[in-house]
Amino acid sequence: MNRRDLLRNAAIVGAAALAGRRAFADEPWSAAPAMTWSNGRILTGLPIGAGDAEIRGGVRVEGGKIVAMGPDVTGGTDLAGATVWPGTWETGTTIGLADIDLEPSTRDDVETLDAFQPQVRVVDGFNPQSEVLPVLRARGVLGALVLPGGGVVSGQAAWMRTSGATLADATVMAPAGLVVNLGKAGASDKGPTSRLGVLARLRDVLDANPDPAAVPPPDKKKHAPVEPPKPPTRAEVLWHDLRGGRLKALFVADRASDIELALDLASEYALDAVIIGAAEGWMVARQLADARCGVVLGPVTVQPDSWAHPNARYDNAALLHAAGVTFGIRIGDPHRTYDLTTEAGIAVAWGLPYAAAVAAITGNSPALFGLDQGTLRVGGEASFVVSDGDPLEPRSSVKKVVVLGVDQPLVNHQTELYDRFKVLR
Amino acid sequence: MLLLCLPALAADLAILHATVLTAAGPPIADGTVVIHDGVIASVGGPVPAGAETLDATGMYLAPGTIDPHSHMGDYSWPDGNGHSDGNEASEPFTPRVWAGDSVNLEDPAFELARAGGVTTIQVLPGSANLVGGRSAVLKLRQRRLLDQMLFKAAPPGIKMAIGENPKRVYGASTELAPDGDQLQTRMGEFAALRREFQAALDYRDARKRPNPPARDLDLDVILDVIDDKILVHLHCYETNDILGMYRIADQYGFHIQSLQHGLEAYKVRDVIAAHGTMLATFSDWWGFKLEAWDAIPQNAVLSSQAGVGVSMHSDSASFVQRLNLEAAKMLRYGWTADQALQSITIVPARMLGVEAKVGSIEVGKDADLALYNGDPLSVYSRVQRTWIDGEVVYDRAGAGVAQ
Repeated sequence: MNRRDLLRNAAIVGAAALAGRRAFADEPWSAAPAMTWSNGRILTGLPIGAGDAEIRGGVRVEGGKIVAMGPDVTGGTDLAGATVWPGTWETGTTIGLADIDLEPSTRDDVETLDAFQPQVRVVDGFNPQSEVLPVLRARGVLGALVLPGGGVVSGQAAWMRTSGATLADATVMAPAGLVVNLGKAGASDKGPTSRLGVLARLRDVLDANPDPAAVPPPDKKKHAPVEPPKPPTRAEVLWHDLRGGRLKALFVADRASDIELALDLASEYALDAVIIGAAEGWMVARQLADARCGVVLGPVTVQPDSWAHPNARYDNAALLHAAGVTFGIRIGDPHRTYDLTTEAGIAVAWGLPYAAAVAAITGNSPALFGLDQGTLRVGGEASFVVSDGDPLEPRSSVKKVVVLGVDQPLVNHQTELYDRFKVLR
Repeated sequence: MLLLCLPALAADLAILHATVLTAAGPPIADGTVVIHDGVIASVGGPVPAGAETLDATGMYLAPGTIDPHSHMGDYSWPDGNGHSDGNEASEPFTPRVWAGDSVNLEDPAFELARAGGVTTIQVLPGSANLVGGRSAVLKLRQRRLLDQMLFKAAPPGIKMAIGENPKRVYGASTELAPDGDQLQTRMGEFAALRREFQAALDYRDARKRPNPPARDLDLDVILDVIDDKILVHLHCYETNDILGMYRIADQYGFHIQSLQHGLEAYKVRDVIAAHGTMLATFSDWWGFKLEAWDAIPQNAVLSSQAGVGVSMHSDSASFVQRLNLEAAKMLRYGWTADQALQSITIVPARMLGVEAKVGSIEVGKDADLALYNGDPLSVYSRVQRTWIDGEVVYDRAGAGVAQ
């Protein structure tokens, strides 16, 4: 199966886990050698309530999958107490689309075709050979929900790995949802210029594209068809999928009132919504808990430095957790994606339980999309990171990265420079 | 005015049973630090009669964080046009401007910085200009008047910049530089610098002759640079920029006190050490522009091992609150915990020329302190209390801030 077929299938099926497995079906991962690691501390990354957050023991890997895990696994490589954990899965970034912020020739992360451009796809611009990815991978970042930017509806997000030589290898799920920028972020000279226009145009496009599957067929006795209906355009299909809940609405919103608007839209149009950002989420914690929609907050260190979120605070995560909201944590800044661990640690310092913090940067966000990446469990994919201490502590280092049972090289642009200049010649 | 500048005289305070990280020697377990009249009166006791005591069992007492690269007050929160006061990008040379004139004392970032244990910052002009203007070193006292926040003992400093930023700002627009001062290349930047420095020397000569030219507020400051009367803090990234600036500095005979950012310092760390220049850098931020593409997280450690005094800096009103965690990352690459702590305390104090007053916990120094509920290099630790000149400027127990 070639890459084009694969992506098309992923798009048509829209079933993430399936697409993910499909992406690797023909790849050598399944032939990965068996390996055993023992005597470690294992953080499973499982969402709270889905199993043990932390266990002692080892991991046995065969065929790219975890076949055994826990105290009964012995032998193999002695971890000597090192921590095995799922690596971080970022939720809402531009890695793979943009390498150097101020070099336009390296950037494909913002498109301004139109203020409403559902047909724009992250996978069309994602570069699995980006030199940023190996730097992040070597520091424990294994994947990310990559968002397109620009306009009110920026296009189709995708879950991508930081490993994989080809686009097909790197793709976990595409599309993963449509990005909808609320607040002033959505305003531009290509479309609405204020929140008023953003919401008006959003309702217009949602009203105009009801899910055909949910609309009762016309009464043939009363309305004899004059001509067969035209097939829907690609954009119309996407709107239909959004309205039908087959495609997620990824609302990027920070101000409390913008989060409320996202919840209102989700309720009014029965959208499968995820709120990304949520800097002022703590102010609408009850509504977020009641709505049971997905929430990705972050960065934890977002400051009250902007009119978009003057009420940002460090204990946002702790307050949302206390309100019963399950969430992922994102950092956003692509070059600092590895600091997700520090972000989670800071959330702990401000009151978030440790297990909830680990899950928030590993398994929680993929789980929102029906993916099991970011977790360690028997039968799951053998993708994990070994750190020489608590992964949330800034002083800890990543020592090993394994993806689908395959040891990943830790060499990258930065290690090459270090090797070149560690001794001056 | 003098009265306003002094903190209210308080009873002596003895902080007891803390792990004292002095930044001047090894950690002191179960240590005692006594504050008298805003100054550290003793490290280790005795506790004077009548002193207030604070039981800091299980806590860590460290010097307050010092950030040599801040724009707090010059880009006040919330962001917006009305708060954009950090770059006087009207021409590439603005040595006459002073960052202190832009400081908005109502910037809410000050409060959060104090809550992060920050006690001293250097507010620098931005990096649009080759010579951007003079800096303002502030103590983050809770005061209404700029005069009360200025660190009076700090010698003057000036911001210079070389590399991508000036040519980006002045390269595309002829409106900004109608007199032919457009900067399109690095060689153009260096040529413009030479012309400016030569103009200053010519101006000095002309001022000595009959019918001298009028005072030039720009060239007066350039002459202070040439005479080493002002500390030069140079924004730069790449090796060619660093080496090129040493050609200028050597030609006109001035000292470069610090490289700011200097993400490629590791490649020419021997040259930097030989010039006695210090380095203020990020832990591992990179990739935001081409001249930051070759940044490596070992930059600070390699440079310090070559003899360069290396400080962490924030360049951010957010990261300054967690500069301790940026320093903590350096433990991965070879720094000891003491070195990491020094990189946010005594080393930046030296860079700003205030090491006689602040930056370590030693008798006679200002009582600028941060008390953490754990190791300051741990992500789980939080600042419990911050003092400046012995005055409590943040208290978590009665936190007057939203956070």
